[in-house]
Amino acid sequence: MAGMSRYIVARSIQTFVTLLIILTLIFIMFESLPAKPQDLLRTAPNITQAQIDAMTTLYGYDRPILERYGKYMFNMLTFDFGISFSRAEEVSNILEDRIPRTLLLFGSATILAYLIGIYLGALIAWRRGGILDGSTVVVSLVFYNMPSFWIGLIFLVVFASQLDWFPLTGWYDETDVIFGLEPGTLLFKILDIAWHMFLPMLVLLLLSLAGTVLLMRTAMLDVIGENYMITAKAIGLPERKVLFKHGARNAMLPVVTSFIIAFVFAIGGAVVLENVFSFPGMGALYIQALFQLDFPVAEATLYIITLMVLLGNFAADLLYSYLDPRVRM
Amino acid sequence: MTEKEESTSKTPDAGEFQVAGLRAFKKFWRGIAGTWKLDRQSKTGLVGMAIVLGFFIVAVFAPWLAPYDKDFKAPSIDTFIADYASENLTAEANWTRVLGLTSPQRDHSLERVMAYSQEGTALVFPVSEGVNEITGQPGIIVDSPRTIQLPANASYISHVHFSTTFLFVMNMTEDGAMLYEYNSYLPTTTHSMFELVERHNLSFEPKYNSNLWNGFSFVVQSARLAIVFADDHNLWMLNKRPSTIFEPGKSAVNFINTLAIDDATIIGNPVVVDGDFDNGSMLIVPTDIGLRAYTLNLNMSLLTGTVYNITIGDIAWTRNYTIDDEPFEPVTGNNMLAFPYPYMPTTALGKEYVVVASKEGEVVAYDRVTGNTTWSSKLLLTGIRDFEITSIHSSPDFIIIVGTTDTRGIVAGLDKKTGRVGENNTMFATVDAYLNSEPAYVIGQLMYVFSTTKGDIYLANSLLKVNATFAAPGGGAVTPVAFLGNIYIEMSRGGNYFGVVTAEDQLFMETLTGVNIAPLPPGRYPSGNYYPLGTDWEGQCILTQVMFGTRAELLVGITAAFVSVVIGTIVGLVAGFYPGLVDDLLMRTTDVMLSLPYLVIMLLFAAAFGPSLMNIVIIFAILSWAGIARVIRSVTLTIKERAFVDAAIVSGASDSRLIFRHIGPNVLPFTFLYMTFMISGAIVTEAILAFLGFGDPTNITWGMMLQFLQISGHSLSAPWWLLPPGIAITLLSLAFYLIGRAFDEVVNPRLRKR
Repeated sequence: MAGMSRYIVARSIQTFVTLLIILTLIFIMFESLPAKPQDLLRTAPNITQAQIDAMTTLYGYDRPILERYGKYMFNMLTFDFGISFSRAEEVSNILEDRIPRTLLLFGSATILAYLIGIYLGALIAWRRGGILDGSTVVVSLVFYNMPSFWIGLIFLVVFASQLDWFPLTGWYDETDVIFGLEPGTLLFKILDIAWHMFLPMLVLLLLSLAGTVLLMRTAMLDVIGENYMITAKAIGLPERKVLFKHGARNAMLPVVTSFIIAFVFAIGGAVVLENVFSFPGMGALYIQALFQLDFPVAEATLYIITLMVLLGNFAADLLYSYLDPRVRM
Repeated sequence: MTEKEESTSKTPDAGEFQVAGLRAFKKFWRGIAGTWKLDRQSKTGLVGMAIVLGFFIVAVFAPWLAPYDKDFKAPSIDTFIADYASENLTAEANWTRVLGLTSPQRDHSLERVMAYSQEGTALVFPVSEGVNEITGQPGIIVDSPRTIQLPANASYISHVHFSTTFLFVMNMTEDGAMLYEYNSYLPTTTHSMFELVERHNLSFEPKYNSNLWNGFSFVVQSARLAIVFADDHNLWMLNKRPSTIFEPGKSAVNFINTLAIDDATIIGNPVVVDGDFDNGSMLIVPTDIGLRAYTLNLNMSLLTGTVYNITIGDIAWTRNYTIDDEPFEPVTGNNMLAFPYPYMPTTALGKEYVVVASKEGEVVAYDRVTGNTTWSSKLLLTGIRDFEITSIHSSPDFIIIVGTTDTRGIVAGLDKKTGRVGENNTMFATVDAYLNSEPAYVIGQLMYVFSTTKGDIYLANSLLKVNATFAAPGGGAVTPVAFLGNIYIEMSRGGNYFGVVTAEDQLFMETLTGVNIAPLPPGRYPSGNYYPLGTDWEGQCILTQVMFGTRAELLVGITAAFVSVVIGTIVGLVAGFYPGLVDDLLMRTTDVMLSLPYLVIMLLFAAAFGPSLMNIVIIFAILSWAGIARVIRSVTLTIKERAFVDAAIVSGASDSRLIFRHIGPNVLPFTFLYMTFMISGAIVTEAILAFLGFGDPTNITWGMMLQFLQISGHSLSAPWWLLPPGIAITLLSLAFYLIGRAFDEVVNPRLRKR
């Protein structure tokens, strides 16, 4: 167990250093944006030079770059994001509602994609050459190469606009009618949010699923030829047991390794799909902030997303080291 | 040792490199050819190859395969349901201007349309309302024209009215610039008269002009016209007011003033800025050393309010071109100064300030009376960089700024109270050519109409969002678009008309208040054109766009993938070849790169670098090399252990020779393999960036087509526009991916046994 805890400490330090490097990169990128916040202030109605100066001081743009960098790192690490440029509100207030929404959206899609993908991938590899295998591979390949927003738009047109089964935009609406439930009750909230989230989540799920199925199928095919599989079959174990206990468990290793790639992919997908479905999450906020040059909001959003990815990566590594004890050595 | 160092620093020369690459490729190709038929998935690779080949053919032969031209827009008879009229002009004359002549009676309704030619020949068409013969709907009726000879080569032409109408034409004669003043009226419905009233000799050749028209008012005393002409040092001003009942036999009274400015050079159009006719009128003259305001003195009867004389007074204030003590370079020329006017252009009273802009985008408003800065502002246009302001224009609610980027024209509306681009920095439009007409304000419609050097006409709403855009029939417009005026049509159909002369010498008039029905579904349309996949909202043929989009798509995909695999391969080779510190450093960097949320970072880069295809290539390459680097490193590690590398080391090969000559060719198959996957990724990434608004608006790409679909609000209603670009993206990306999978089996023979 000592090996495990040392591994955790080493990985934590590594993750933290990576975070610092990425934070620095974000700082440099925002510093090198051609438009400056001062220019933005100038366009505000009836603003005086004194007010511009006060704002410049407030955001610290009159300080030397190193001092600003230090302050920025400190603020980011203590989750103090300051005040938005475009609306007079604390950035943390704006983010507060949006983080759980985005987490729910791509978290549930990624987890479902993994559960279904591993099962489906193992199954079609086992029955390779069949109709199920062929059709799943073709469908996965096509979905894997589709632009996410485009499927999103098509689903919007078909299921929300034409068939009118799902709402076009948003996240929660008190005025909806759901089985005659009283608006505002917990059950109503859960059902309404699920109803709103269904389409974006389905699209994200299909996209993530395509990659996972293809990967799991390849990994499983690798495993099927192994001697222990033949042994397991030879000693007369039931097929299900051979497939899942002996085959899938071993085939999962490379799939878990690539978890972080799927995770990053799903975050990218969520950012795009939030814009397609007008879903008030972090992705929609991020694009809006980039267009409005709202640096504090964009920086904070980017930071939170990066943090999620790093933590996801960390968790995947721990899981991997649990599944494959050789890693800990 | 020194010998070794020398050879280390020597890079392999290009020829050697080529031979190695060629040999590796031949070997690689033999490998593919030999194993091609072995397995099932190579057949899907073949399918991928066929699709890619198809797209390549489309890309190369797009101009011949596409049903229409790259810049083709469906003519307005297909896309715009509106009343229109088209009249033949003679082909002998060079038509340069269209002018709407409105009547002082009946609320300025349009009564004649004049086409003016460079030779001075003018055709005047009486127009009236009635049942349009072409459309069978209530609309415009154009009577047969009357030919009139006006001075040729007019450098200035304008039409105004008080109790009667005046036409001013200026041209150069041997004696100097001559301003002709015609009394213009329509004695019968078919006869148009232009009677020369007066000629004014200016004695200099004017470079700048402006006219202020405090025109129609029931209190005729306050109606006035002020035309100003100027060259570098001279200024000539004509003030005209209607005659009163005490001045029988006259239609109007003129006051002429001149001013010589010796200590400075005039650099733009001087303007007369009125608070009220008798209250603090200023003549504001832009010079090279700053703005100068001269008081205009009125000599008027206290009893009747009749003006007896107008004279130019003292300098009231001067201002140099600075904002916060920072000097700026103002836009110069004929549209240098502008002011917002409150109501209709004809009752342009109460103007508070005059606006100057710098080429880079600073805008300042100076108070008319005191010369103090009312507001100053820096123009920010979301998503647009490197623009230059070329002119500023007056309008009722906004200051209109016209500018250019490298390839596109910009129109922006500045709020008259703050100077910022209205509506959250969004009140602007970009169009795919430079503007050649002043964005004219359409009375009562809250619309603007302007045309571009490409001959397209744009209608923009009061937020300057383009409502409709169309080419005039017959090869597009050759004259700038002119807002003609209003005709009252029965059944309250809108009667605001604009006019242009087309390339085929047609005078084309159309109402602004029609309905733009584009995007058009697939089918045949009144012009006889067939759009196999329909059109987008600008009337551009979807099939043509998809075909031309293939070019940019392949270019971006292949270039981005190439740059990215080159970086990845070099990093992988170096990391694999030098174990220890170099390897550690490069691999940790790779780890950081791999754990970045790359799409989110790409968006930030795209916002920072600005929208262009080149930038998308760079951004993709910078963020996507890490995966390949890792694979190439592990391949390098295994190849390094092979005997031929040891043999090369023994024979004294340098490090760079080892890396690029011996190991490099052996990792090339993997590089090719990942390149096909990368192309597939780059194509989808470009589409996503474009769709989110970070694409290159000057190039047709499939992603941009879908972005226009989204921002034009037709994404739910135009499947013929939604499907083709997405299918094309999926097909092309899938094709490269299939090729990659087939390569994968050739390169990794382990996979082949399945």
